Amino acid sequence: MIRLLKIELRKHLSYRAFWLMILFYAALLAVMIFGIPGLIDYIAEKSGEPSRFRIFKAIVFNFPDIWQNITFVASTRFFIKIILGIIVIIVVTNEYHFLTIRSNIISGLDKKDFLIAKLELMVLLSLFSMLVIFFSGLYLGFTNSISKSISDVFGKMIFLLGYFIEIFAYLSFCLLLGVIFKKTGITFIVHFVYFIIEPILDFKLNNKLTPFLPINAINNVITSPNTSLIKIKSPDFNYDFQEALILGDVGLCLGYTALFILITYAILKQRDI
Amino acid sequence: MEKILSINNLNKKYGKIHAVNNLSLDIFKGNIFGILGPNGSGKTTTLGIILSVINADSGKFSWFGESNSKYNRKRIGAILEQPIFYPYLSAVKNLKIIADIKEVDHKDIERVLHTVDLYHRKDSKYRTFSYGMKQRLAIAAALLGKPEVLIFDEPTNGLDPKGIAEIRELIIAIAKEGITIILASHLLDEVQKTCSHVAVLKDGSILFNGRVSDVLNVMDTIEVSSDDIPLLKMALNESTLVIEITADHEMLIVKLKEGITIAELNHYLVSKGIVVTHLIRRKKTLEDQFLELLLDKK
Repeated sequence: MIRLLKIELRKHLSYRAFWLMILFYAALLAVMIFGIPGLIDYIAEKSGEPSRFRIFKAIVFNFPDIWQNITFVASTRFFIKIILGIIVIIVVTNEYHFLTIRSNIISGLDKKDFLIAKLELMVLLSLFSMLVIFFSGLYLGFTNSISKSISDVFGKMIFLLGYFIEIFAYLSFCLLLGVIFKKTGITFIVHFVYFIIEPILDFKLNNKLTPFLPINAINNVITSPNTSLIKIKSPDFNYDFQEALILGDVGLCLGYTALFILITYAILKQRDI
Repeated sequence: MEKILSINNLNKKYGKIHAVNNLSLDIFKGNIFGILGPNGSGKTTTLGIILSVINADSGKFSWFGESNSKYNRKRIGAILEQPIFYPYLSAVKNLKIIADIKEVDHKDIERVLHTVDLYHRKDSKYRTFSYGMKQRLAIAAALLGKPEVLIFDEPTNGLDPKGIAEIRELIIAIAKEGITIILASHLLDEVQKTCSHVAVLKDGSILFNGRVSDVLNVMDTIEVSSDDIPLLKMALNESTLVIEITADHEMLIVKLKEGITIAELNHYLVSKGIVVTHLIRRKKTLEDQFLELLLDKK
């Protein structure tokens, strides 16, 4: 296991594009994490009613709801996690473009090893992303939250696990596309076109079916933010705000992940390189 | 002798094209085995199958007498078609990846880079290499961990004459260490100069298979006939010019010693008082087919 990850990392750690993407991702996250509270302060100053915004900030970034709120924002489908998806697509399609998948197999990996190495890289990327969110949450929480009790700081931290599951599921989807289409550009196009098609399907299909659409399913682990204010006001919204991770949703997301990986493996196994 | 590779009834179709057609082959330890055939004769497909990058439609193969697995491939060094490396990584970093896959100590990298004379460029990115250097790096990669078998697919393709000579010398030097070599080529000359054994492929099937000396260097044979065959045979048996005599209907087929001409044979027979009624050089039939094969590609 460790051996395969080492081999995988050797391929990327000197690859400038890989680092650029990671840095870009980290920079974007940092801008958001440090920028949004600043932006709220700025709007507060300008609005003439700063106390209202300060309350808003304290509510959104309050422990433990902060974990749900920031993981919800960070895992939104058209948002920065796409950068991680792009990394996975580049990494996989490069192996076809350079034909290095062939030299890997000839040298003595089998197709299962090749797949496992990629999955390990995806776990690492998901963990990295989750840790960034974790530290951001600690920072934003301790600077803004009213409550700083241990039980509140750790409460709802399970949403970080939900976030990890969502990201990994999404990266499995990207891996599958990369293996199917092999070419970087085509894979990007298919990915983005599908991201447009699915909301249309979502609109046209019966509401009972829409949760089963793949991108919906892998985004439904964390469906909404939640705050103490929402809890009080929720009757007015006429919407079910999520309180905790729902086992069925997590199961569906994991089911899709397994399906993506199995199809990827079947294609790798059956296709000549 | 120890069997290194055994292929049984291998088949692979691409649509209507039968790329590998019921191919069976055994390669033994220490052979320098040439797979000779024009482009499109199924050489690379066959090598792709035995290296597990192409799935066969049917048939079996086994390495070292064992069923196929990744562990067998770690004992093999191979170059298929063209050199393949990560272009953005240096020579050393590329070789480290392969060494890790093969579970070979990184210390071996220095040795193989010296062997192919690329040590001074070890930290250059692969994409800055000339084609000849890329080819040499591919050989270095194949040599990692001292494999028991080396597979070269058109190793001199795209190289200049100096490069070709270097690669051939390298292959012959490697072969002297007792490593089994499988070399696919469309060049008769290349196989003749480097190989001990050869299989000739056409349209995915084997035309001939055997020692290079048997297959490629068949000596001319002479057909001789006279009114008195027994007398002729006796005279030939006594002669020192002849190696082998076989009877064939109304004539005798004779193999001459090296350097002996038909004129000398005729002179000898006349001196024995034998008048020949038929004296003709029989062409090297295998080479004929060979030339046909090689003409096909042009």
